Amino acid sequence: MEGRRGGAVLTALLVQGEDRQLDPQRSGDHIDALFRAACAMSGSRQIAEDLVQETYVKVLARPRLLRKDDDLGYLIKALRNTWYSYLRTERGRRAASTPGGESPEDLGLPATRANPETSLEASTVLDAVSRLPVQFREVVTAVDVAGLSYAEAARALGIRQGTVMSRLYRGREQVALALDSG
Amino acid sequence: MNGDPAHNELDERTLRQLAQLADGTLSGQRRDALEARLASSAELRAALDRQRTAVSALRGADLQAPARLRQTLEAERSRPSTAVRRRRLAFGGALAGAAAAVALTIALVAPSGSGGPTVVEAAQLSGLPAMQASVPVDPANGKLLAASVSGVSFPNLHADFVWRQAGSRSDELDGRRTKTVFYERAGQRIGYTILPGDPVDAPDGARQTVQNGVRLSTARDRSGAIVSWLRGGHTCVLSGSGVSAKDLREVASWKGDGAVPF
Repeated sequence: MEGRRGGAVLTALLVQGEDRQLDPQRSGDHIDALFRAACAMSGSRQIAEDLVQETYVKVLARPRLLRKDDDLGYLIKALRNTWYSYLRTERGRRAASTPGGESPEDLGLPATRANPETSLEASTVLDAVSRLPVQFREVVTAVDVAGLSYAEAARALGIRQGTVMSRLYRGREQVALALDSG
Repeated sequence: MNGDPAHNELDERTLRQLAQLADGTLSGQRRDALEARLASSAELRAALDRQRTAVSALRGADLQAPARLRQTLEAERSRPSTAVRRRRLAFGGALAGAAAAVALTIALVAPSGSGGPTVVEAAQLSGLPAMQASVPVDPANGKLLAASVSGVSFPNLHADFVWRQAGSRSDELDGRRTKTVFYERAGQRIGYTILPGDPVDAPDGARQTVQNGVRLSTARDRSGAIVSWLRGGHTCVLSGSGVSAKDLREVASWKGDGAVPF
Protein backbone atom coordinates (compact mmCIF):
# COMPACT_ATOMS: atom_id res chain seq x y z
CA MET A 1 0.00 0.00 0.00
CA GLU A 2 2.78 2.35 0.95
CA GLY A 3 4.54 1.47 -2.26
CA ARG A 4 1.46 2.20 -4.30
CA ARG A 5 1.06 5.54 -2.59
CA GLY A 6 4.68 6.34 -3.29
CA GLY A 7 4.18 5.37 -6.90
CA ALA A 8 1.18 7.65 -7.14
CA VAL A 9 3.16 10.52 -5.73
CA LEU A 10 5.95 9.86 -8.18
CA THR A 11 3.45 9.77 -11.02
CA ALA A 12 1.98 13.06 -9.86
CA LEU A 13 5.40 14.62 -9.77
CA LEU A 14 6.14 13.37 -13.23
CA VAL A 15 2.81 14.54 -14.59
CA GLN A 16 3.36 17.97 -13.17
CA GLY A 17 6.89 18.14 -14.46
CA GLU A 18 9.43 19.51 -11.99
CA ASP A 19 8.71 18.09 -8.54
CA ARG A 20 6.02 20.59 -7.63
CA GLN A 21 8.07 23.67 -8.18
CA LEU A 22 6.39 27.05 -8.27
CA ASP A 23 3.91 26.81 -11.13
CA PRO A 24 5.36 29.08 -13.84
CA GLN A 25 1.90 29.87 -15.16
CA ARG A 26 0.57 30.82 -11.74
CA SER A 27 3.70 32.67 -10.71
CA GLY A 28 2.92 35.35 -13.27
CA ASP A 29 -0.17 36.23 -11.26
CA HIS A 30 2.03 37.49 -8.45
CA ILE A 31 4.31 39.87 -10.33
CA ASP A 32 2.43 43.01 -9.29
CA ALA A 33 2.21 41.97 -5.64
CA LEU A 34 5.86 41.05 -5.60
CA PHE A 35 6.85 44.30 -7.28
CA ARG A 36 4.88 46.35 -4.75
CA ALA A 37 6.47 44.36 -1.94
CA ALA A 38 9.92 44.98 -3.39
CA CYS A 39 9.17 48.70 -3.69
CA ALA A 40 8.06 48.75 -0.06
CA MET A 41 11.18 46.91 1.07
CA SER A 42 13.68 48.93 -0.93
CA GLY A 43 12.03 52.29 -1.50
CA SER A 44 13.28 52.24 -5.07
CA ARG A 45 11.56 51.16 -8.27
CA GLN A 46 14.85 50.36 -9.98
CA ILE A 47 16.06 48.21 -7.11
CA ALA A 48 12.60 46.62 -6.88
CA GLU A 49 12.77 45.57 -10.52
CA ASP A 50 16.15 43.96 -9.94
CA LEU A 51 14.96 42.24 -6.78
CA VAL A 52 11.87 40.79 -8.43
CA GLN A 53 13.79 39.60 -11.45
CA GLU A 54 16.48 38.04 -9.32
CA THR A 55 13.89 36.39 -7.11
CA TYR A 56 12.19 34.78 -10.09
CA VAL A 57 15.50 33.68 -11.56
CA LYS A 58 16.42 31.95 -8.30
CA VAL A 59 13.01 30.41 -7.68
CA LEU A 60 12.65 29.05 -11.19
CA ALA A 61 16.21 27.75 -11.21
CA ARG A 62 15.88 25.90 -7.91
CA PRO A 63 12.45 24.31 -7.64
CA ARG A 64 11.21 23.56 -4.14
CA LEU A 65 8.37 21.50 -2.80
CA LEU A 66 5.62 23.84 -1.75
CA ARG A 67 1.93 23.90 -1.11
CA LYS A 68 0.00 24.98 -4.14
CA ASP A 69 -1.87 27.72 -2.33
CA ASP A 70 1.24 29.26 -0.86
CA ASP A 71 3.05 30.42 -3.98
CA LEU A 72 3.00 34.06 -2.96
CA GLY A 73 4.25 33.31 0.54
CA TYR A 74 7.13 31.38 -0.94
CA LEU A 75 7.92 34.20 -3.35
CA ILE A 76 7.85 36.77 -0.54
CA LYS A 77 10.24 34.64 1.47
CA ALA A 78 12.55 34.37 -1.55
CA LEU A 79 12.25 38.12 -2.15
CA ARG A 80 13.22 38.81 1.43
CA ASN A 81 16.30 36.62 1.07
CA THR A 82 17.20 38.38 -2.16
CA TRP A 83 16.83 41.74 -0.43
CA TYR A 84 19.17 40.72 2.37
CA SER A 85 21.69 39.42 -0.14
CA TYR A 86 21.44 42.73 -1.94
CA LEU A 87 22.03 44.66 1.28
CA ARG A 88 25.18 42.66 1.90
CA THR A 89 26.68 44.00 -1.32
CA GLU A 90 28.41 47.33 -1.44
CA ARG A 91 25.74 48.61 -3.80
CA GLY A 92 23.12 47.66 -1.24
CA ARG A 93 24.96 49.28 1.63
CA ARG A 94 25.17 52.46 -0.38
CA ALA A 95 21.44 52.35 -1.06
CA ALA A 96 20.64 51.58 2.55
CA SER A 97 22.63 54.58 3.74
CA THR A 98 19.76 56.70 2.44
CA PRO A 99 16.68 55.79 4.47
CA GLY A 100 14.22 54.02 2.24
CA GLY A 101 16.57 53.36 -0.66
CA GLU A 102 18.80 55.05 -3.15
CA SER A 103 16.71 58.14 -3.39
CA PRO A 104 13.66 59.28 -1.48
CA GLU A 105 12.14 60.45 -4.75
CA ASP A 106 12.81 57.19 -6.52
CA LEU A 107 9.36 55.74 -6.00
CA GLY A 108 7.80 58.89 -7.37
CA LEU A 109 9.01 58.18 -10.88
CA PRO A 110 6.31 57.61 -13.48
CA ALA A 111 4.49 54.38 -12.78
CA THR A 112 2.52 52.17 -15.08
CA ARG A 113 -0.93 53.13 -13.87
CA ALA A 114 -2.99 55.20 -16.24
CA ASN A 115 -4.00 57.53 -13.44
CA PRO A 116 -0.97 59.54 -12.27
CA GLU A 117 -2.67 60.46 -9.00
CA THR A 118 -3.11 56.82 -8.12
CA SER A 119 0.53 56.17 -8.91
CA LEU A 120 1.71 59.08 -6.86
CA GLU A 121 -0.39 57.98 -3.92
CA ALA A 122 0.88 54.42 -4.15
CA SER A 123 4.43 55.68 -4.32
CA THR A 124 3.91 57.84 -1.25
CA VAL A 125 2.46 54.94 0.72
CA LEU A 126 5.15 52.47 -0.29
CA ASP A 127 7.83 55.05 0.43
CA ALA A 128 6.41 55.39 3.95
CA VAL A 129 6.65 51.61 4.38
CA SER A 130 10.24 51.58 3.17
CA ARG A 131 11.14 53.95 6.02
CA LEU A 132 9.80 51.70 8.75
CA PRO A 133 12.20 49.76 10.99
CA VAL A 134 12.88 46.49 9.27
CA GLN A 135 10.86 44.24 11.60
CA PHE A 136 7.73 46.35 11.03
CA ARG A 137 8.46 46.87 7.35
CA GLU A 138 8.60 43.15 6.65
CA VAL A 139 5.29 42.41 8.29
CA VAL A 140 3.43 45.36 6.79
CA THR A 141 4.85 44.44 3.40
CA ALA A 142 3.84 40.79 3.71
CA VAL A 143 0.30 41.37 5.00
CA ASP A 144 -0.89 44.72 3.72
CA VAL A 145 1.18 45.20 0.58
CA ALA A 146 1.52 41.64 -0.72
CA GLY A 147 -1.76 40.39 0.75
CA LEU A 148 -0.62 37.37 2.76
CA SER A 149 -2.76 36.09 5.61
CA TYR A 150 -1.30 36.28 9.11
CA ALA A 151 -0.50 32.56 8.97
CA GLU A 152 1.20 32.85 5.58
CA ALA A 153 3.18 35.88 6.72
CA ALA A 154 4.26 34.06 9.86
CA ARG A 155 5.53 31.14 7.77
CA ALA A 156 7.26 33.38 5.24
CA LEU A 157 9.00 35.47 7.90
CA GLY A 158 9.67 32.69 10.36
CA ILE A 159 7.88 34.35 13.29
CA ARG A 160 4.75 33.61 15.34
CA GLN A 161 1.33 34.83 14.28
CA GLY A 162 1.04 36.86 17.46
CA THR A 163 4.27 38.63 16.59
CA VAL A 164 2.93 39.31 13.12
CA MET A 165 -0.11 41.03 14.61
CA SER A 166 1.88 43.08 17.12
CA ARG A 167 4.36 44.27 14.54
CA LEU A 168 1.58 44.91 12.07
CA TYR A 169 -0.16 47.19 14.55
CA ARG A 170 2.99 49.18 15.23
CA GLY A 171 3.99 49.35 11.58
CA ARG A 172 0.56 50.61 10.56
CA GLU A 173 0.66 53.20 13.33
CA GLN A 174 3.86 54.63 11.92
CA VAL A 175 2.56 54.54 8.35
CA ALA A 176 -0.60 56.38 9.38
CA LEU A 177 1.42 59.01 11.22
CA ALA A 178 3.79 59.42 8.26
CA LEU A 179 0.92 59.86 5.82
CA ASP A 180 -0.77 62.27 8.17
CA SER A 181 2.36 64.42 8.54
CA GLY A 182 3.16 64.18 4.82
CA MET B 1 0.82 45.87 37.98
CA ASN B 2 0.60 49.09 36.07
CA GLY B 3 -2.16 51.37 37.35
CA ASP B 4 -2.11 53.69 34.34
CA PRO B 5 -5.47 53.15 32.59
CA ALA B 6 -4.14 54.44 29.25
CA HIS B 7 -1.33 51.91 29.40
CA ASN B 8 -3.69 49.07 30.16
CA GLU B 9 -6.06 50.05 27.39
CA LEU B 10 -3.40 49.44 24.76
CA ASP B 11 -1.87 46.28 26.09
CA GLU B 12 -0.33 43.78 23.71
CA ARG B 13 -3.47 41.73 23.30
CA THR B 14 -5.52 44.81 22.50
CA LEU B 15 -3.00 45.97 19.91
CA ARG B 16 -3.30 42.65 18.13
CA GLN B 17 -7.06 42.72 18.20
CA LEU B 18 -7.12 46.29 16.90
CA ALA B 19 -4.93 45.20 14.01
CA GLN B 20 -7.37 42.38 13.30
CA LEU B 21 -10.45 44.55 13.65
CA ALA B 22 -9.01 47.10 11.22
CA ASP B 23 -8.55 44.54 8.47
CA GLY B 24 -11.67 42.53 9.18
CA THR B 25 -10.11 39.37 10.59
CA LEU B 26 -11.49 39.72 14.12
CA SER B 27 -14.82 38.00 14.64
CA GLY B 28 -17.14 36.50 17.21
CA GLN B 29 -17.01 37.27 20.90
CA ARG B 30 -13.61 38.94 20.71
CA ARG B 31 -14.92 41.42 18.20
CA ASP B 32 -17.99 42.12 20.31
CA ALA B 33 -15.88 42.63 23.42
CA LEU B 34 -13.48 44.98 21.69
CA GLU B 35 -16.29 47.01 20.14
CA ALA B 36 -17.82 47.40 23.58
CA ARG B 37 -14.52 48.80 24.87
CA LEU B 38 -14.22 51.08 21.85
CA ALA B 39 -17.56 52.66 22.64
CA SER B 40 -16.21 53.98 25.90
CA SER B 41 -12.61 54.80 24.97
CA ALA B 42 -11.57 57.71 22.77
CA GLU B 43 -7.99 56.46 22.83
CA LEU B 44 -8.93 53.07 21.44
CA ARG B 45 -11.10 54.64 18.77
CA ALA B 46 -8.23 56.92 17.73
CA ALA B 47 -5.90 53.94 17.56
CA LEU B 48 -8.40 52.03 15.43
CA ASP B 49 -8.81 55.01 13.12
CA ARG B 50 -5.07 55.10 12.54
CA GLN B 51 -5.05 51.37 11.81
CA ARG B 52 -7.87 51.76 9.32
CA THR B 53 -6.19 54.73 7.65
CA ALA B 54 -3.06 52.68 7.15
CA VAL B 55 -4.93 49.57 5.97
CA SER B 56 -6.91 51.60 3.47
CA ALA B 57 -3.82 53.34 2.10
CA LEU B 58 -1.66 50.21 2.02
CA ARG B 59 -4.20 47.90 0.46
CA GLY B 60 -5.25 50.54 -2.02
CA ALA B 61 -1.68 51.16 -3.18
CA ASP B 62 -2.18 50.03 -6.74
CA LEU B 63 1.21 49.98 -8.40
CA GLN B 64 1.79 47.62 -11.30
CA ALA B 65 5.04 46.06 -12.35
CA PRO B 66 6.58 47.77 -15.40
CA ALA B 67 5.96 46.16 -18.77
CA ARG B 68 9.65 45.54 -19.32
CA LEU B 69 9.84 43.53 -16.11
CA ARG B 70 6.86 41.42 -17.20
CA GLN B 71 8.49 40.77 -20.55
CA THR B 72 11.76 39.78 -18.93
CA LEU B 73 10.05 37.42 -16.50
CA GLU B 74 7.91 35.95 -19.27
CA ALA B 75 11.06 35.11 -21.19
CA GLU B 76 12.58 33.73 -18.00
CA ARG B 77 9.62 31.45 -17.34
CA SER B 78 9.57 30.07 -20.85
CA ARG B 79 13.27 29.25 -20.72
CA PRO B 80 13.88 26.00 -18.85
CA SER B 81 16.76 26.30 -16.44
CA THR B 82 19.71 23.97 -16.51
CA ALA B 83 18.47 22.37 -13.31
CA VAL B 84 15.03 21.81 -14.75
CA ARG B 85 16.38 20.33 -17.95
CA ARG B 86 18.51 17.94 -15.96
CA ARG B 87 15.61 16.92 -13.76
CA ARG B 88 13.62 16.06 -16.85
CA LEU B 89 16.50 13.95 -18.03
CA ALA B 90 16.62 12.26 -14.66
CA PHE B 91 12.92 11.38 -14.67
CA GLY B 92 13.16 10.07 -18.22
CA GLY B 93 16.18 8.01 -17.34
CA ALA B 94 14.50 6.48 -14.29
CA LEU B 95 11.58 5.31 -16.33
CA ALA B 96 13.43 4.09 -19.34
CA GLY B 97 15.58 1.48 -17.66
CA ALA B 98 19.22 0.55 -17.41
CA ALA B 99 20.25 1.37 -20.95
CA ALA B 100 18.85 4.86 -20.67
CA ALA B 101 20.49 5.27 -17.28
CA VAL B 102 23.90 4.81 -18.88
CA ALA B 103 23.16 7.54 -21.36
CA LEU B 104 21.78 9.69 -18.55
CA THR B 105 25.01 9.38 -16.61
CA ILE B 106 26.91 10.62 -19.60
CA ALA B 107 24.50 13.49 -20.02
CA LEU B 108 24.82 14.53 -16.40
CA VAL B 109 28.59 14.65 -16.37
CA ALA B 110 28.94 16.33 -19.74
CA PRO B 111 29.70 20.05 -19.73
CA SER B 112 26.77 22.43 -20.02
CA GLY B 113 25.48 23.17 -23.48
CA SER B 114 25.79 19.67 -24.91
CA GLY B 115 29.16 19.97 -26.56
CA GLY B 116 29.10 23.61 -27.68
CA PRO B 117 31.54 26.24 -26.50
CA THR B 118 31.56 26.92 -22.79
CA VAL B 119 31.73 30.14 -20.83
CA VAL B 120 34.99 29.01 -19.23
CA GLU B 121 36.55 28.43 -22.65
CA ALA B 122 35.47 31.88 -23.74
CA ALA B 123 36.89 33.38 -20.55
CA GLN B 124 40.26 31.80 -21.25
CA LEU B 125 40.53 33.98 -24.34
CA SER B 126 40.98 36.98 -22.05
CA GLY B 127 44.41 35.66 -21.12
CA LEU B 128 45.63 35.60 -24.74
CA PRO B 129 47.38 38.50 -26.51
CA ALA B 130 45.56 40.98 -28.74
CA MET B 131 45.82 40.40 -32.49
CA GLN B 132 44.57 43.83 -33.54
CA ALA B 133 46.28 46.67 -31.71
CA SER B 134 43.44 49.13 -31.43
CA VAL B 135 39.68 49.39 -31.63
CA PRO B 136 38.35 52.85 -32.52
CA VAL B 137 35.36 54.48 -30.87
CA ASP B 138 32.11 54.28 -32.85
CA PRO B 139 31.83 57.72 -34.50
CA ALA B 140 28.02 57.54 -34.28
CA ASN B 141 27.86 56.53 -30.60
CA GLY B 142 30.59 57.49 -28.18
CA LYS B 143 29.49 54.83 -25.67
CA LEU B 144 30.34 52.06 -28.15
CA LEU B 145 33.43 50.86 -29.95
CA ALA B 146 33.51 50.29 -33.70
CA ALA B 147 33.65 46.52 -33.25
CA SER B 148 30.77 44.10 -33.05
CA VAL B 149 29.69 40.47 -33.33
CA SER B 150 26.35 39.64 -34.96
CA GLY B 151 25.25 43.23 -34.48
CA VAL B 152 26.24 43.39 -30.81
CA SER B 153 28.77 46.19 -30.31
CA PHE B 154 31.45 46.29 -27.65
CA PRO B 155 31.09 49.11 -25.13
CA ASN B 156 33.46 52.05 -24.76
CA LEU B 157 34.27 51.85 -21.05
CA HIS B 158 36.76 54.68 -20.85
CA ALA B 159 34.61 57.61 -19.75
CA ASP B 160 32.63 55.78 -17.08
CA PHE B 161 35.07 53.15 -15.79
CA VAL B 162 38.51 54.36 -16.99
CA TRP B 163 38.97 51.00 -18.70
CA ARG B 164 40.75 51.90 -21.96
CA GLN B 165 40.44 49.56 -24.95
CA ALA B 166 43.65 47.65 -25.57
CA GLY B 167 43.09 45.81 -28.82
CA SER B 168 41.16 42.76 -29.85
CA ARG B 169 41.42 39.24 -31.19
CA SER B 170 39.19 36.88 -33.14
CA ASP B 171 38.92 33.16 -32.47
CA GLU B 172 36.74 30.19 -33.29
CA LEU B 173 35.19 28.17 -30.48
CA ASP B 174 33.35 25.03 -31.58
CA GLY B 175 32.53 26.56 -34.92
CA ARG B 176 31.53 29.95 -33.57
CA ARG B 177 33.47 33.01 -34.63
CA THR B 178 34.11 34.97 -31.47
CA LYS B 179 35.65 38.34 -30.88
CA THR B 180 37.36 39.53 -27.72
CA VAL B 181 38.10 43.15 -26.92
CA PHE B 182 40.66 43.83 -24.21
CA TYR B 183 40.52 46.74 -21.79
CA GLU B 184 43.26 47.95 -19.45
CA ARG B 185 43.22 50.06 -16.31
CA ALA B 186 45.98 50.67 -13.76
CA GLY B 187 47.89 47.57 -14.74
CA GLN B 188 44.82 45.32 -14.85
CA ARG B 189 43.38 43.75 -17.97
CA ILE B 190 39.97 42.33 -18.77
CA GLY B 191 38.68 40.51 -21.83
CA TYR B 192 35.14 41.00 -23.15
CA THR B 193 34.16 38.15 -25.44
CA ILE B 194 30.99 37.89 -27.48
CA LEU B 195 29.90 34.38 -28.47
CA PRO B 196 27.37 34.54 -31.31
CA GLY B 197 24.57 32.01 -31.65
CA ASP B 198 22.40 30.20 -29.15
CA PRO B 199 22.89 31.23 -25.53
CA VAL B 200 25.59 29.31 -23.72
CA ASP B 201 24.73 27.96 -20.27
CA ALA B 202 26.56 29.42 -17.31
CA PRO B 203 29.01 27.07 -15.57
CA ASP B 204 27.57 24.77 -12.94
CA GLY B 205 27.24 26.49 -9.59
CA ALA B 206 27.42 29.97 -11.07
CA ARG B 207 25.79 32.61 -8.90
CA GLN B 208 22.77 34.24 -10.48
CA THR B 209 22.18 37.93 -9.85
CA VAL B 210 20.37 40.79 -11.51
CA GLN B 211 21.95 44.20 -11.75
CA ASN B 212 20.57 47.20 -13.57
CA GLY B 213 17.95 44.86 -15.02
CA VAL B 214 20.53 42.49 -16.47
CA ARG B 215 20.66 38.84 -15.43
CA LEU B 216 24.27 37.98 -14.66
CA SER B 217 25.96 34.66 -13.90
CA THR B 218 29.15 34.78 -11.90
CA ALA B 219 31.50 31.80 -11.74
CA ARG B 220 35.13 31.30 -10.83
CA ASP B 221 38.02 29.45 -12.31
CA ARG B 222 41.67 29.38 -11.31
CA SER B 223 42.37 32.84 -12.70
CA GLY B 224 39.43 34.58 -11.06
CA ALA B 225 35.85 35.64 -11.61
CA ILE B 226 33.94 35.09 -14.84
CA VAL B 227 30.71 36.94 -15.55
CA SER B 228 28.41 35.92 -18.38
CA TRP B 229 25.14 37.40 -19.62
CA LEU B 230 23.13 37.94 -22.79
CA ARG B 231 23.02 40.88 -25.16
CA GLY B 232 20.82 40.66 -28.22
CA GLY B 233 20.41 36.95 -27.52
CA HIS B 234 24.17 36.34 -27.77
CA THR B 235 26.40 35.33 -24.89
CA CYS B 236 28.88 37.83 -23.50
CA VAL B 237 31.71 36.74 -21.22
CA LEU B 238 33.85 39.06 -19.13
CA SER B 239 36.85 38.06 -17.09
CA GLY B 240 40.26 39.26 -16.03
CA SER B 241 42.91 38.03 -13.70
CA GLY B 242 42.73 39.73 -10.32
CA VAL B 243 39.66 41.81 -11.18
CA SER B 244 36.84 41.51 -8.68
CA ALA B 245 33.50 39.98 -9.57
CA LYS B 246 31.85 43.19 -8.41
CA ASP B 247 33.84 45.29 -10.88
CA LEU B 248 33.08 42.84 -13.67
CA ARG B 249 29.37 42.90 -12.92
CA GLU B 250 29.34 46.71 -12.94
CA VAL B 251 30.85 46.68 -16.42
CA ALA B 252 28.66 43.83 -17.65
CA SER B 253 25.42 45.52 -16.62
CA TRP B 254 26.42 48.99 -17.82
CA LYS B 255 23.91 50.41 -20.26
CA GLY B 256 25.51 53.81 -20.86
CA ASP B 257 22.25 55.63 -20.13
CA GLY B 258 20.58 53.58 -22.83
CA ALA B 259 23.32 53.98 -25.42
CA VAL B 260 24.54 50.40 -25.00
CA PRO B 261 21.87 48.09 -26.43
CA PHE B 262 21.00 44.83 -24.65
